Amino acid sequence: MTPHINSDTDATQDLPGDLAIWIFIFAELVVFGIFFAAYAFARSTHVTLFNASQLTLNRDNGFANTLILVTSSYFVVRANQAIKAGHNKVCGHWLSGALGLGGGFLLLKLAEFHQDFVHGINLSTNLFYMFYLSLTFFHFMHVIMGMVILAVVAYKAYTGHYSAEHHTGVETGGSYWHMVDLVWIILFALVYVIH
Amino acid sequence: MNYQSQRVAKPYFIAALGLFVGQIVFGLIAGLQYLNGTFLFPALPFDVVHMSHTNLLIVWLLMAFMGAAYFIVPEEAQTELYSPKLALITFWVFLAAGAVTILSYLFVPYTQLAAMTGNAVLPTMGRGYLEQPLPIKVGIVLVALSLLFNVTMTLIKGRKTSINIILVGSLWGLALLFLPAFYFPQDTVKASFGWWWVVHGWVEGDWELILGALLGFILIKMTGVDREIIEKWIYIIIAMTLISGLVGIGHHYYYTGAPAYWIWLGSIFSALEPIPFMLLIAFSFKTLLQRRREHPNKAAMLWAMGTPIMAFLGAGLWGFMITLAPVQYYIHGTQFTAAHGHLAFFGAYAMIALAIISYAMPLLRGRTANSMVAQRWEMTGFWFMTLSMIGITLALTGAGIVTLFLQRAAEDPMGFMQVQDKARVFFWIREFFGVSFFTGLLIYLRSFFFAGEYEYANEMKQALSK
Amino acid sequence: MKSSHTVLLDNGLKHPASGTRRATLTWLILLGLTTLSFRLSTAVSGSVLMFTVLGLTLIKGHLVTNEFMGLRHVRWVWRLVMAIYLLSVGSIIAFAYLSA
Repeated sequence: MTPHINSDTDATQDLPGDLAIWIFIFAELVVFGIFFAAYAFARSTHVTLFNASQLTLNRDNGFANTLILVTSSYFVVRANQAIKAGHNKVCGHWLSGALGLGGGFLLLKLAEFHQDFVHGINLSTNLFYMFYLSLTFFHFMHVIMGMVILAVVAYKAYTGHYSAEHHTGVETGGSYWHMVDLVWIILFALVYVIH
Repeated sequence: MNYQSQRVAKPYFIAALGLFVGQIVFGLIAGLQYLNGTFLFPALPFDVVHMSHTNLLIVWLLMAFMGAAYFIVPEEAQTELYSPKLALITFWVFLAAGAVTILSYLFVPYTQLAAMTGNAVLPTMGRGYLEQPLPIKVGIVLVALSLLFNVTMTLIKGRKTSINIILVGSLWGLALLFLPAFYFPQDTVKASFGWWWVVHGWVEGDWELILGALLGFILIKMTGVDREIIEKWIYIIIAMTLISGLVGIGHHYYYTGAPAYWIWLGSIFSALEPIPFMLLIAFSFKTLLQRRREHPNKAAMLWAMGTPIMAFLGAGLWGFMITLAPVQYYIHGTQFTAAHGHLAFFGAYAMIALAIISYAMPLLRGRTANSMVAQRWEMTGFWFMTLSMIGITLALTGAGIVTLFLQRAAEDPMGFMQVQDKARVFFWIREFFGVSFFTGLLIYLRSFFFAGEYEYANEMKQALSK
Repeated sequence: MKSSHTVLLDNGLKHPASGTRRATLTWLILLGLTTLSFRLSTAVSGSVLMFTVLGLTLIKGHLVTNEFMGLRHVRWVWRLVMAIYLLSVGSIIAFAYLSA
């Protein structure tokens, strides 16, 4: 396979995919940014509570989920490269792989939510859990949305809607998925790791 | 206008403007009563005037939205309206219901009205904006059902554009969100929620979608920019509206009695609610810059461009100012809220209603655009009304600041009436701008009484001679 | 801008045919940095942990946006916007943690 990519020196292009999705991506990043800032400042007045509650989180799960999302993002990059080389099927396969990983993320996260539920943890338990549950649930919904987009793109790839010349859809869907990954990377560090 | 049945929109628009005049007259009276509490008392007590002012607002906006739906849906679906006759009957029913409601407010004491209309059977009356007697509320539901039936059937048999799907979908949302109005339990917390979901489900959620659809339609028609591009923006704006609005509507759930986490969730998400309005501004101006034609209806374009800006200021900025929980603790229910309410309702919803009327009315009267004279009157009206509304907003904000420092956050809080007295100068300023708004409205209405069409040849000659 | 974003992966992989290899390398680095953050969480604590993990996270964010999202190829304005976003989120978090 000889992936066709644009030369590195030619950094004057427009954003990959639709401009509209980028406006949306930036808006979403602002949304999460505000959420993260609120978490950080809420923590600054309840440090002991946050530290104690953070210890109860399933950090292995969070770690695994980060690896999963990063890998799925990588798959999406490969899907992009495949379609740029004109390989519709290969593109579809990589996207299906990314979708499978997205499904895995959801399952692991659901298991985590289930554990919380079993232990009687909810939004009212304390301030940390309020943030942990609402942040991760909000992100969870974004994963679902990203998967819906990826599924449409994968379907279109398999049915030959894209070509080496015309594949804005793959870039658009991919960009959104990378955003979902990016947000989780920050979320993982903030909620699971730093204490 | 491409389809005969679009004509049914005309009476809706005319009635909307008539009711709008009524709303402003009651507004002026209420404003005077702030300055002189016995003005027109006991014939017209403040609560009745206030109720008429807000109810007329809702009814004229609904009138305009319905007119817009009857105008847009056939055009977008590229087919005649399913039943123009039903639309016309619905119009008269709705107008009669509106008139009966206001007249009964004016001439029957409210408690007696409640007793007469079966409020004991199913209590629904008494909450702000939802004061209508039970039979009227049922009437509103029937009118909404008739509208939904008509436009949905039209949509089904015609072309299904995104604009149309969003518009019809949000009209369904509008109707469904009215249902909590029938839920008025003894429990005041639950009752507050029922009330809250109607009005705020509308203005912070569903109506924003209607706004998006109407603005999208106007811009497609007037700028000639590709439908595909405009629709993509509309979808993104809607997604952002829903992401922020669905949870953001909880900005004072906590103070109504919901669990403490609503302090955070409500604050965070409602702080995000300006984002869709920013996107709306970006979208409209980007579309304007990419326009492929110069539409002769400059006035409609002015309304369309003014809407996102004023909506951002009123709903976005003034809304954000009062939405964070710690701030709300001090200024909830002060004139800050009234300031936000005035600028948001005008900027987001009155202006989009006037924009679609401005675009559609000339077409309904058989012209592409009004003559330049008429348009100049209309645009003068635009500036009068818009600037006056900013004046009203600033005056009310001033009154809010007075309340904040003398009563809410004061070491030694003054009594309510004393504070009102201190804020008197702001109420005078508000009334002054109210009168100037009314003047603007009359100037605007004057524009409808010029005959003749926009004449290209004439305008061209004038432009070249300059 | 240009020099800063090529520092991390400036290992001669500039030939167009190296796109796949470059992506794979980025992915492996991301996995590595994630593992490192995860291990650090039990090894160190306090502001050392905060600054290290925050730093690693910003690097990861930079890799995802530049390499995966392809901002490397676009006009510098967009990279600047993204960099400002990442840096401001990072500094707000750092500031909040230090003010605790």
